Amino acid sequence: MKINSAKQGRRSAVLSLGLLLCSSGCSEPQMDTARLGPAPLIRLSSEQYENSVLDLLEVSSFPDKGQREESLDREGVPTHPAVSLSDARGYLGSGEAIAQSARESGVLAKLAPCEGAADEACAERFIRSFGRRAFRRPVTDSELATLRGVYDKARRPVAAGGLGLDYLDSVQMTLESILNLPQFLYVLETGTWNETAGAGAVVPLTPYEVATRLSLFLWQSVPDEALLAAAEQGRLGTSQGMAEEVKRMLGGTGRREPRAERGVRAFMQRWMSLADAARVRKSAALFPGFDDATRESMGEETKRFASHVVFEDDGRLDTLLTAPYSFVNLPLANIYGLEKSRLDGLTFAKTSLDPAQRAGILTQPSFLAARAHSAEVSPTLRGFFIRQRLLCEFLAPPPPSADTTPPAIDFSVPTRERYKEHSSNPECAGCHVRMDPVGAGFDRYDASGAFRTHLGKYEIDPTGQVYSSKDLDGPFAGPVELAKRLASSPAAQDCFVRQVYRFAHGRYEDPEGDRHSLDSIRAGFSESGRDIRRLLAEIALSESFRYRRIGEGEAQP
Amino acid sequence: MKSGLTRRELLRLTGATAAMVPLFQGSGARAEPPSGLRRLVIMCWPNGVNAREFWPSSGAGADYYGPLSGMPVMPTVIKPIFDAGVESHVLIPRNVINAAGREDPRAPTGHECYLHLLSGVVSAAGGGGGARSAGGPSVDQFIASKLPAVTTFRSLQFGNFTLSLPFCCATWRGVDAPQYPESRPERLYEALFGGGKSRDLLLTLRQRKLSILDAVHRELASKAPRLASTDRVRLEEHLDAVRQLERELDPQNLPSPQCTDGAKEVEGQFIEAKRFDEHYHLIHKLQAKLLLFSLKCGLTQVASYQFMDAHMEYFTVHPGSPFSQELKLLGGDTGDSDMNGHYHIAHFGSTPGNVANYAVKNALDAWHVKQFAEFVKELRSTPEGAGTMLDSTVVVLINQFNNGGSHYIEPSPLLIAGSGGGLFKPGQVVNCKRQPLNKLYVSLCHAMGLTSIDSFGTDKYGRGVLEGVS
Repeated sequence: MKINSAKQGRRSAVLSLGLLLCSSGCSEPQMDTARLGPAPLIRLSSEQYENSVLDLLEVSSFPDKGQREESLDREGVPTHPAVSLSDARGYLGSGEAIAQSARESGVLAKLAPCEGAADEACAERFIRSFGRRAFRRPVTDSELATLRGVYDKARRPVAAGGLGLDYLDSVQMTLESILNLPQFLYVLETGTWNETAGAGAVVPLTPYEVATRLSLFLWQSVPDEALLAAAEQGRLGTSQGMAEEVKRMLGGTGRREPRAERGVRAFMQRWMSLADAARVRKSAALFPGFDDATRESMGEETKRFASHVVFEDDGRLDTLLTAPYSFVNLPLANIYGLEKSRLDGLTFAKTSLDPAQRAGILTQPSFLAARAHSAEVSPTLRGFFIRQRLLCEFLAPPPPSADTTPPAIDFSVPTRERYKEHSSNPECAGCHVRMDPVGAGFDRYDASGAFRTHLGKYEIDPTGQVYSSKDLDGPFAGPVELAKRLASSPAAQDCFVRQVYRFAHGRYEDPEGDRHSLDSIRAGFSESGRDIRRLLAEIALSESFRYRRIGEGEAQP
Repeated sequence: MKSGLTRRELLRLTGATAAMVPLFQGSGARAEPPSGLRRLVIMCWPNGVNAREFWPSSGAGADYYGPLSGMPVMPTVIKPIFDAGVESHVLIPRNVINAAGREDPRAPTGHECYLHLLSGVVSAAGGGGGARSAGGPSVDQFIASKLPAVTTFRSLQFGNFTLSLPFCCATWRGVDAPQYPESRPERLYEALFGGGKSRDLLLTLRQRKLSILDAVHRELASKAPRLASTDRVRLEEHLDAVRQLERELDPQNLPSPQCTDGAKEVEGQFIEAKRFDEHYHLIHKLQAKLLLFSLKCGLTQVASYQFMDAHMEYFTVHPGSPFSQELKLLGGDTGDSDMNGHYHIAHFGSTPGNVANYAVKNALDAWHVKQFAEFVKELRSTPEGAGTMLDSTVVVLINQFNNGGSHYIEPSPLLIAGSGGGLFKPGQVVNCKRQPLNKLYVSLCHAMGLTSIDSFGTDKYGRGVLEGVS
C-alpha cells in the first residue's frame, strides 16, 4: 500500500550552513507498509522528564528529582522496562516536590492566575493550558474531567468528603496529577487512522505527534508554544513546514539555541556511556588526585566539547573525532598536564591541546579513564568500546570456558605482553584480535587518561593495529592517527548515523524496515560533508520520524 | 476499569471520611500480624565466592556432607553462622545448579545472570548479546502474586547500592517488568512506617496522594486497552504498580502505633549513599532493622534484600569501613591496587596466591553471611505464638556465581534457614546432585503454602520440589 504517493525524484534539499531547507518543491516521503521499523512505546527518559519540567514551569531548577537512571542495554540502547513500584513511588514523590516548589516560589500563581473569575473557570483554564503543553496536544474532555475530579475533591470541604484546600493548593494537586499521568510520562501515539487502516498499516503521525517527536529528539523536552502552534496550524504536514521548524529548533548561524544543546549532550551521554565516567574509580596510590570533581568533570567535558563542535564550530563528525582542543577545568588540567594558572577551579575553558597527543573524543578522559582498570589500562576495554560504539560491530560474549580475569598488574612488562594470551590462545584470539590491537594503540594514555611515553623501564610502543574491519585495516601510530582514519572511514560514518538514529528513536534500527530512511539520511549526511546538524535534520525529516505502524491489537482512538 | 470495590471506595460509600477512619478501624488495627502467616526472605549478594572458603570440606580435599556441627574444617566464610549460634537452623544445599544460567546468552560468564537468578528462565538476548531482563517473574514475585492479599505489601524489596539498571536486579514481576529494590532506607521508612509523622498528618497526606493516584489509575486504565498488545502490557504493569501504591497508602493500612514506635530507632541515621566503603554497612544496619520490623508488624509475607550491584566499583580505603583492615592490604600494595572495586576484588580474589584480594573477597563474603546469620538469629530470638518467628519463616541467601574470578556459576552458593514446614532439614550439608534452582523455587512455593505448584520458570530442567534435603 502506498501512502502519500508524491512525485518521485530526489528531495531538492538545499544546504544552508549545514541545515536542510526545501527551497522549491520538497517532495513528500513515500511510504509503503514494508518500510518502517517497529516502534516501542517510549517513556520519557530522566533527561526528558527533567527538561520538560524545567520548560513547563519556566524555572532553572527544581527539587528532589527522585528519578532513576536509565535502563540501558550493553550498547547503550534503552530497554524500555515497565514502570516498577519504586519508579511509581519516585514519580509521585517528584511530582509532589515539584508542585510544592512551584507553589512556594510563586510560579504556580503565575501559571494559574485567577482574578475576577470563578475559581472553577480558572482551574479549568489552567488544566487546558498547562495540560496542552505537558501532553503535547490539546486536553480532551475526558482528561479535563479526570483532572477536574482531582481539583474538585481538593476544593470540597472536609465535611463533604473533600480535602478542604484553597484554590492554589488545589491547582497544585492538579499539577501534581498531570506530572503522573501516562499522557505526560509516555509518548502515546495513535497516528491518523482511516477506515482502511488496521494492524500492520503504516499511517502518518498527527501534527502534534510529529511536534512531540521533534522536540523530544532535538530538545529532549516538550514542544514550545511556537512548535505547538505549527502543529495546530497544519504547518508540520509538509517537509517544507517541518524543515522550517527543525531549522528554528537547531539554531546555529549566530543564533544559539540552548535547548538544541540538550539533544547533543544527551546523545553523547548515551553513545559514550558517560555515566561510567562519573563512577569510575582509580587506584588512590597511583592517581591520588582522581577525585569526585574529576569524575564529575569528565563527562561534562565531552558534552561541552560535542555541543561546541556541533553548534559553534563547523559541526562536522570529523571535528568531533579529531579537534585538537577541548573544554578543560582544573581537575582535568591535571590529567592533560596543562598549566593551571589560567584555570578557575571547576569552570571549563576552551583550551588548545597538543595536536600530536590529542584529537577529539577518543583522547578525552571520559573515554580513556572509563575504559581502563583502576591502576592500568585495558587494551581490551578500549578496543571493545571502539568496535562496538564507533564501528557498530557485534562482538560475541566470551565462551563459557573463558576465564575473564584480567592479567595481573606488572609494571615491569609492557601491557601488550601481559595481554598476550588473548592473541596466543586460539580460543581467545578469534575475538580479541579485533579488540586488543586497537586498544593497544592507546597504551600511551594511562588509566586516568594522562599522556606518558614510558611504563617502568619500557618505552611504550605507540602503535596499534586494526584487523577484520570493513575499511580500517592496518597499523596506526596512536589515537590521533586512528581518529583521522575513523573520520574518513565510511564504516565509522555509517555507524555514527546509526547511533544517532538509535538515540532519536529509542530503539535499534531495523535492517529492512528502516533501510529506506537510513539510506536517505546517510546520503544527506554525506552530501553535507558529514555535518552533524544536517544529520539531526535528516533524521527529523525522515519518513521513519513521521509515520508509525499500527500495532497488533491496537484499537481506534 | 477495575471491577469490584477497593476498601477506600467502600469507605467512601459508607460515608466515612478521612477523619473518621481511625474510629472506623478501631484503635487496635494492625497491632498484631495476622496469625499463622508464613514468610519468605530472599537475600542475594553478587560476584561469587572462593569455593574453598565457602563450601565445607573433609580437610583432605573431598567435599563434606553431614551435620554442620560435625565439620572437620571450618570454612572462613560460613564461620559467622556458628558465631551467631544458628548452625542448627541452617541448611547448606550443595550442588544446586542455576540451569537457566547455562542458557544465558553470555552463560555462564556474564553478569547478566543476576537478572534471572531468581526467575529460573532466561529471556531473549538484548543488544550486545546479553540478557536485558529476567525471563519471567522471580520466585518472590511469583509467590507474592499468588498469595491471598492479607498484608499491606504484597512484597518488599530492600536494596543497598543497587544502582545500574537493569543489571543490578534479580526481582522481576515478569519479562521487562522489574520490581526494583529500594536502596534508600528513608523512603522505606516513609512507605512502611509513615516516616515518623503523626497519624493525623499521615492521613491527610495519604488522602492527597490517593486522590492523585485516582486520576493516574483512571487514565492508565482508559489508555491501556487501546494500545498495541506489547505496549498494553507495559501500561498494565504501570497500573499494577499504582495499585500496589494505593494499597500501601490506604488509610486502613496505617501501621499501628506499636509498629511505628518500634521503627523510630532508625530516625536520624539516614545518610546519602555516596561512598560504598563508608556507607554500605551503615545503610545495611537501617535496612536490616526495617526488614525485621516489617516482618514483625506483619506488613508483608515476602521480602527480598539485594546486596549491591554486580558491577560495584565503589571501594576506596576508609577507616570507618568494616573491611578497612583488608582494604588496607590493597592500598599498601601498588601492584594489586587495581582491584579496588568489589567486581575487581572478586575477579582477582579467586586465587589464594593473590593474597590481598583473596583476603578482601573472603572478608566481604563472610560479612554478607554474617548479616544473614544475624538476621536468622533475630528471628530465632523473637517469640511468636508458641515458638519463634523463625518457625514460620524461610530465609535464603544466594549468590549468582560460584567463582567470582572466572564468573563460573556452578554450583550456586546457597544457605537456607528455617524448615519451611519440613521441606528443609536444617543443620546439614547436603549433596543435591545437580538439581536445578527451579526445584528449590518449587520448594519455596510449597513452603509458602502454594502446594499445587509443580514447576517453576520452566519445567525443562525438572519438576517438583528439591529432593534429598528434608
